[in-house]
Amino acid sequence: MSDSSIRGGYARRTYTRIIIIICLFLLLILLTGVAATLGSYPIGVMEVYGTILAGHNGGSDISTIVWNYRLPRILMGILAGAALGLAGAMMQGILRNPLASPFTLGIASAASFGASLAIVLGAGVVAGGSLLVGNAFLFTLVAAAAVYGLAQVRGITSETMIMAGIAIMYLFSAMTSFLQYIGDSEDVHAIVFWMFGSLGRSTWETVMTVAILVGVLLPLSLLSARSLNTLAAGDEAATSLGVPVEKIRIGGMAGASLLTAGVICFTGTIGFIGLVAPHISRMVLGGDHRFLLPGTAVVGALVLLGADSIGRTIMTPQILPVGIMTAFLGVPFFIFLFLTRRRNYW
Amino acid sequence: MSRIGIPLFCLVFLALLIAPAAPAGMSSDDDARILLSEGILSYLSGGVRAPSLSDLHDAAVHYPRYPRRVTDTAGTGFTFYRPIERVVVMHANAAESIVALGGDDRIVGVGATINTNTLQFPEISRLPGVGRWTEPDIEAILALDPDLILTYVSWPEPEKLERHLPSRIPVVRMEYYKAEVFRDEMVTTGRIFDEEENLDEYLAWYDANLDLVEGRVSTIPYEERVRVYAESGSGQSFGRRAYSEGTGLHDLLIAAGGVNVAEGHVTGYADVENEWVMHQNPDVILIWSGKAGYKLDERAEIVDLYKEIVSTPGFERIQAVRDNRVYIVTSGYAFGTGSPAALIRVASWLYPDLFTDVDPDEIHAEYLERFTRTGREIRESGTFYFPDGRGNE
Amino acid sequence: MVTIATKNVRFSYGSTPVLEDITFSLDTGTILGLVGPNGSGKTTLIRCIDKVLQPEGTFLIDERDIQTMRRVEIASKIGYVPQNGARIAAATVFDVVMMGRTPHMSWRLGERDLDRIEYAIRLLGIEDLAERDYNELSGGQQQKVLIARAVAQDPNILLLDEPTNNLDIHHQLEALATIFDLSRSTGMTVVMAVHDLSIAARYADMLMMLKNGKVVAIGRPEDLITPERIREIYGVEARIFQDPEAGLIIAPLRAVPELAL
Repeated sequence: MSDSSIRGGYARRTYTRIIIIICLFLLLILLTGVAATLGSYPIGVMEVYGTILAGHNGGSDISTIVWNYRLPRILMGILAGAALGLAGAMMQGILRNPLASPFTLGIASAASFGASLAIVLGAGVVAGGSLLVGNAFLFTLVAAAAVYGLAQVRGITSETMIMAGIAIMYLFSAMTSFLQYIGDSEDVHAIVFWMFGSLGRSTWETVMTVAILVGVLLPLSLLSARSLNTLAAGDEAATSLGVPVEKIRIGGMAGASLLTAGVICFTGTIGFIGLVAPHISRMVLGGDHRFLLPGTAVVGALVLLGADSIGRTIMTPQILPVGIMTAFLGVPFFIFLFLTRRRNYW
Repeated sequence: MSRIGIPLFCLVFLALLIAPAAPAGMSSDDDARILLSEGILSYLSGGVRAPSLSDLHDAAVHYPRYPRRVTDTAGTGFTFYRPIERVVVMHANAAESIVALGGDDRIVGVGATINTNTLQFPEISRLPGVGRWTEPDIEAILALDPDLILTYVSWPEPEKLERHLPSRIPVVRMEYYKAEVFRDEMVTTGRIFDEEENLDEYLAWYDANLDLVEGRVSTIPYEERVRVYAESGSGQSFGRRAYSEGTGLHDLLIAAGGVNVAEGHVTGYADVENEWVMHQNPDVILIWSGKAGYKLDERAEIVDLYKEIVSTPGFERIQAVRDNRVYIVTSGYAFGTGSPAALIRVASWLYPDLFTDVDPDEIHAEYLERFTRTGREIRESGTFYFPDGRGNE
Repeated sequence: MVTIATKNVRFSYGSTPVLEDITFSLDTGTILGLVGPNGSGKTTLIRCIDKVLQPEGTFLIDERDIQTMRRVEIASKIGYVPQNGARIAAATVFDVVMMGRTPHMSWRLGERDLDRIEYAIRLLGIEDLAERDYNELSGGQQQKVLIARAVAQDPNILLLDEPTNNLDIHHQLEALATIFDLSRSTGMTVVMAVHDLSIAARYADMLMMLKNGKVVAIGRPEDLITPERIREIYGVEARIFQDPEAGLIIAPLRAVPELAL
């Protein structure tokens, strides 16, 4: 056994992980290129790329379709997938729980309630066209704050946060059901459609907003990567190693909530990405958050873009809501990996 | 035994007297006699569904054209031994039809959607409420002592309704908004409410308008038919929902002589992309909205919907938008008892040259006047379709 | 030089007092064994030294009050080896030992970090396990990894909570010998909560006997380990033997009924 074999092993693993992340990213670029050519209006592959290179001029059908519809949809899929995956990885890290997701804190229920409020009663915080978006965003943060407040009473441990999250989830769920009850059938249809999640509403404005959110929060999350690694050893051990456990938990929750709120207020509640992407990422990259966090962002983007692309081609011209597709895609793939990997990865 | 013996003997004697006339020509009186005989036999053999002696007595002695038998859209048969007097109506489509036939004076209780529809139903909206057609209020229904309940075929489910009611209260299930069964349902309603004259008047109006449209559009060869894209009024926000085969809007545009671009690609309701609509390049875009109609304060929503659709990026190059052939119809107009008026309007949108001699507004006004109890306010300010020449275009 | 000094330290969980009036001081390089029955406050005291729990009273590390010290500072001076048991998700042995560098490392592992991790792994003899998944190891192996993690912290003070619980005899002796050598060679101060009195006698320079959260006695093992003390602390009749190589051997005979309080 040579003297450097331990650090050699570490270097090798680090190198491998970086390569994997790069490969995943390249795969994402490839998928983006393919997705741009998919759609119910037949456009040739070269025409699509030609239009992209030529810039947006709105003068022709092809230009409008590629620039107004396909590109925003694809970019939103990438950004939303990255954001939700990242939020999921953070939640699983701070709660030390493999079943945690961005929606564990009752966020999805709160956002659905905000949307329902806008749809059924026309009531909310921001007037006009942004009513629904504003409501969904705001109530998500209300839920996160409520969980924080509740958990604070008994100390911010993973158990108290999960319990508070479940309570909040049931509360908002019940209120949403009530709104559905008093709404008319058109309202109910709109609520259900919103809850399935859709990328079809994406515009360049919403894409930019989410891009800024991800652009800011992804690097910020990396700052906590080391602490998240150490947190896995237990609250006590982490404290003794100098990690400010409560602060990390609160910060992580705030970051995950912002990412999630910022996405689902535009897209509706898209499930499974936040749960499945971190697991897939962990299986190929291991539990070191310095690689896991960026890796999960890329995996999340891949899964969501893949799901949406399949959803709008498999029964063309009919589009299946992306939330249904993520369930179909994510779960069996996850089971497949789970069965083929021997490693006890959690 | 002798207490029932004498009336029984009288009934049987009566039945035997009139029975021989049965085979010769089937008039409704003859049906009544046959049904009376059946009823007597049923009474004798007993059972839950058997009529009571007073039922038979009323039918035999007081109401010459009773018993009468009807079958509802769910396939259930009902035998009535006397005219009905107290009716509970669960949904607005049924109420509309009953009003059209003049049977609304027998309504004693209404579903929540009728209570809130004060402009369409100025009188019966004030009647006691019996819950929603999803969640009926059994106590309220029983308190009204009805002898008939009218509701949808599928809602509320029998476990929520029939199971909690005594079997002597019939629950008749009809839709009143589906084109393929609508005419039969009107006939059935006419028989139930004993309003054959009003029924004939309504059917005359109904058939005349449908025949008019069919006569003129059926001659158009397939290649020359107008290509229509039909969708729900959600716009981009909640999915661009196309309506294809199996939906009421599809049936409407087909009856008006159009061709549905979605037919063959999708069935029922389906979410589609803007780019597909651009690819189909329809001649006409027909949108259905549940807003406005009899709800006078929702015109702005209809106008906004229209603007949103015509300003969708890329739609400016669609034939329908270029030719200003984007139309919205509302649910109170397009389906149900007044739908022939909407059919005429849609047909005149699709083939204006074929219908220059017909004024769809007049036909709708005729409907509102003859077959509803609405006032002038509705006629003057209701937004039943768009654009309607009243501004905001 | 005094490394740890306490005065009148008290700690309560809610209203239940767990530690009362703990006063002692410890010189650099001393190995202190904490002994006492279950519930005597051993684990609590260790957690207080590490500021995982917040005690009342004065607590000085290297003559600085721990109340004034930042968490990271404490972490760079004090290494804590908890009782084993918790699962650590998705981590190799290397990853766990790397956690020990948290107070020191920046984003990437520097040379110094890698040196220290390797040193710790080799010291505990777990090189072969470096790439293995932590959760797949036996209890004893995991314990060694946790000790290595604390060693990787490069601390002045090492706190161990019943470090030999899950180890078989062979590995017990190995681990303790390692800790002993480490202390002697680097001058590391060690505070060790131990169950086994014989081990405490063998490897500790000083003993602190706790009962019901109070210090009953502090001193050298040969002075403190007497049948009377053992009866007082543990409620057990025992015979003490002396062996030139094995040191003090304690042979418990029987349990005596609890003395009325």
